[in-house]
Amino acid sequence: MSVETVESAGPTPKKGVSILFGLTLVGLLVVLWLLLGLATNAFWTPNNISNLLRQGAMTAILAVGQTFVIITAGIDLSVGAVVGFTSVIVAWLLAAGFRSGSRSSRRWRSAC
Amino acid sequence: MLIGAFHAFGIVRMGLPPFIITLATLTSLRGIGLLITNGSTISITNDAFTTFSRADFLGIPSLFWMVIVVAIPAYVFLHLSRFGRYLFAVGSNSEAARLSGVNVNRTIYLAYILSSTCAAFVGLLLASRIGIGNATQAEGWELQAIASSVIGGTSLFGAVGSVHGPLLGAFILATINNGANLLNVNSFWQRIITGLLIIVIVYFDQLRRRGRGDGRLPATGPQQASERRMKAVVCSEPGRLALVARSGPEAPPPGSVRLAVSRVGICGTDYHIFEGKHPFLEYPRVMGHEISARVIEGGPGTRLAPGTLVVVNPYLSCGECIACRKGKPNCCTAIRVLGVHTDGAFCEEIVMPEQNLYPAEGLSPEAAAAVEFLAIGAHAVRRSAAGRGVRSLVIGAGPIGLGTAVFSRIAGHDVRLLDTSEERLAFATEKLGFSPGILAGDDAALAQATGGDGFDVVFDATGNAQSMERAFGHVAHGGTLVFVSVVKEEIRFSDPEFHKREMTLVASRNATREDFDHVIQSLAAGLVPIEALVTHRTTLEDLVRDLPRWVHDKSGLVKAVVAVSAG
Repeated sequence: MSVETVESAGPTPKKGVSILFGLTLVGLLVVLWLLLGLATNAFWTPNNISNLLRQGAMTAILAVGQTFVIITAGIDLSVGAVVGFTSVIVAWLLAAGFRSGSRSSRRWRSAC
Repeated sequence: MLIGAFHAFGIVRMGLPPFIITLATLTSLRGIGLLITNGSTISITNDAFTTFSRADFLGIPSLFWMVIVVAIPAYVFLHLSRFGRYLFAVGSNSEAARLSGVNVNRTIYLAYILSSTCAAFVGLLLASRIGIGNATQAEGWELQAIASSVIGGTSLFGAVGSVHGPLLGAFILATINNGANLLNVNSFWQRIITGLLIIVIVYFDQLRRRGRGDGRLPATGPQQASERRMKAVVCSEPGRLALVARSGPEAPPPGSVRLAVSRVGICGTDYHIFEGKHPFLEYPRVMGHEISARVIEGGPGTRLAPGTLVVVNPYLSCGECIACRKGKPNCCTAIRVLGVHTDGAFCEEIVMPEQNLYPAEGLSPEAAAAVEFLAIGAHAVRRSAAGRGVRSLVIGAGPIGLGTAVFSRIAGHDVRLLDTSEERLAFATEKLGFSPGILAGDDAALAQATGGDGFDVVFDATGNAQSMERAFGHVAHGGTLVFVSVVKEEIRFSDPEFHKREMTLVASRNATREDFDHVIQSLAAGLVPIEALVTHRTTLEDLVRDLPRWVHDKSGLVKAVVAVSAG
């Protein structure tokens, strides 16, 4: 029996690592913000911050979706194209008569 | 969503690498989008639609709220739901996940569908933000998404990842790009930085894995071959058994446990598989489903302590079908039995879901390996719903029949056995203490046994259609007939005979946790003559020689047990 060759580590403390890792990321983000705030006056302006949030938002949602695939050891290279494609379909549908009176929720459903 | 399903289809059914099929979709979708727009763009004139993305809510851009709207369900899904665990399990080792009862294909479908749905949602937001539909928009965003995910701690090797990590990663990336813009750094540099970041992070990810000695490489990874080896007995084709060395299971996925096999009983099914008599079986196959084992290590979220002796319930049920929803996983519509539909325990190590493992407190490893076949009988007795004091007849004095008889006796029935073999009947009387058996065909003795009334409960464990048909005639008026064994043929019976008795006909299939627990308790209480039932013993090494012998020479053989390890 090869039991004795088994590493004695037991279940790796993944939870702890992931919290520590998360804090590192938060720290990195804060450091970046501070550095940029020092480097340029244009960073800490309401306009730029909301711009940053908008910019990051889309990537963030894509990244969450991508994460599901990567966790299964796969990869999804098509997401950028799907974004572009959906924008076309949405614009097309809006032009084709979903223009007025339709509630936004209905548009969303048709786009997905 | 359709696109995601298409990806999964290509990966699962056509066996295409994810890289290729999603790359193909990338270029095709851009092409289709350009066709629709005739190579230009479609502008959106709906103001309500475009102002949404510019609006703020509670001082925070609505787009950022959308992140929260996506992230919360995603968090619940990934970290708190069963499907989230499945994703990790598939990424860790899809083969082990499959063995543990995870529907791997469906999990992959789900992952790609979610990814595409998120992308479609972003497309909607983007259209709102820029006010035009443009097929060439969002170029390179797939890399941004992958980079964010990887910065956020997701391992490209699978099985490691979270929801909050990628979110932070995305905002770190956005901050870098934003800062580069503000500092007037050429936008081409931003792309170079993104690319370098991915390389650096993946490199560190790899270092971390090596440092941990974590064996979780892709299932086909070359290093895997040099991992732990274990002995296994493989039935490569009917009539051929071979002792081979194969790679042992890897670290158990969440909810599963890696086990050192202790003892494995040999079942009639195993002999049938060896002889090629099993109707639906893919070779090569590692047989063995009557298992006792000791816990080596538990995956995340499991509680069994290393070293615990457990009984393995070899029935992997789907958990979702009509039978499972009714709490009858033993007749799950998609049931898979270890050692029959998937590889079993004629080997040194297996990985099983923790819910299939029952601590064998107070039992020897050998007795624990007998629990499964005894549970078949215990289940049949429970299915009969017969109370104490009734007269029962067990037809067929093989291992299953004897197990049924033992549990019929434990239930307080007055048990008689019927078989074609005098040797088997004598064994039941002399070694197990049953009343004298009745030889098949001796109708006088059969009638005499109940004063002509017939038996309140009749169990048929013969696997013989003729015997099953005749069994109807042995049932008393108001009695019950339980079919324990199954045959391929149709069986016929006379309706008037059936009706006038107002007979209950019951099928009994496999066993459930309740039966396993009942057997474990009965064994611990000494109610089962287990030493007498186990007549033959062998080892994994000798199994290759002994099993083919026992197929033909069953004299004195009731239950043979393979000692895989000493413990």
